[in-house]
Amino acid sequence: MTYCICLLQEGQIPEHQVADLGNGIHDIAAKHSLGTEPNISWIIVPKGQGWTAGQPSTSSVVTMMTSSMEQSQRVKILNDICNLWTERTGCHINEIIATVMPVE
Amino acid sequence: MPLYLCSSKSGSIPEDKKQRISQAITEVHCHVTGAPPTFVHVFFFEADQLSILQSLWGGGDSDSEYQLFGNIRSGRTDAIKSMLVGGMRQAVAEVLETELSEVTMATKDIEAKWVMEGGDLLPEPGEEEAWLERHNQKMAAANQAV
Repeated sequence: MTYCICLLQEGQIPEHQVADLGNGIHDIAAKHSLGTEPNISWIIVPKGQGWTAGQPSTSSVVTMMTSSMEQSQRVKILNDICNLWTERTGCHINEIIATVMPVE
Repeated sequence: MPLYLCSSKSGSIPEDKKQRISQAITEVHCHVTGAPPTFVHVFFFEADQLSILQSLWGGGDSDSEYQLFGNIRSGRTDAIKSMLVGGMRQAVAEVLETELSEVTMATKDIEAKWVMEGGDLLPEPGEEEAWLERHNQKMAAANQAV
């Protein structure tokens, strides 16, 4: 099973784009043959609750937990997640933190 | 990365102290590890949401009023982790003007090579300065190309 936790800052990404990002994550999982469709949890960080470098955060944090894989494949998935975010939301590359880690 | 999660059982962390707490955690992390502040993320959650995150990421249950949970890069020594935990508990207790025993903290190691930030894999602990220099050069080149 592949799980994906997406932490988004409130007001940073419009609702219609969230669905679009979800579709994109499903596409990435399919492209990289990660098995069953990922179970995605969206968690909105309310205003005033997210901070980066001690200042209000504009960062999305995407953590995908899936089967073990070669590092070369992991890097491709990480790049795909970062590209998905920057292309669909218009965020800066510095505003997306992506993690692909093995399910424990 | 690191990502620090903060919560209280009663949801009683005052709004006007959250930035100060985030700055205190950032200061401790950067002082102890030498990492740049831009790496440090601090998010506050109500206890119910924190339990969802901990069920996925890990982290122990605690009876304390205030709980901190940190996803940090692997490779830190036990001594460094101890300084992080001790320093952050102390700093948060001071901001909240509460007893140290009311603030607990757990950490989880995440491999640097599992994480991409700013479009680059994170550096191993101790390699932040060179990473940041390369990253900033890359960003400057990208800006010039636009």
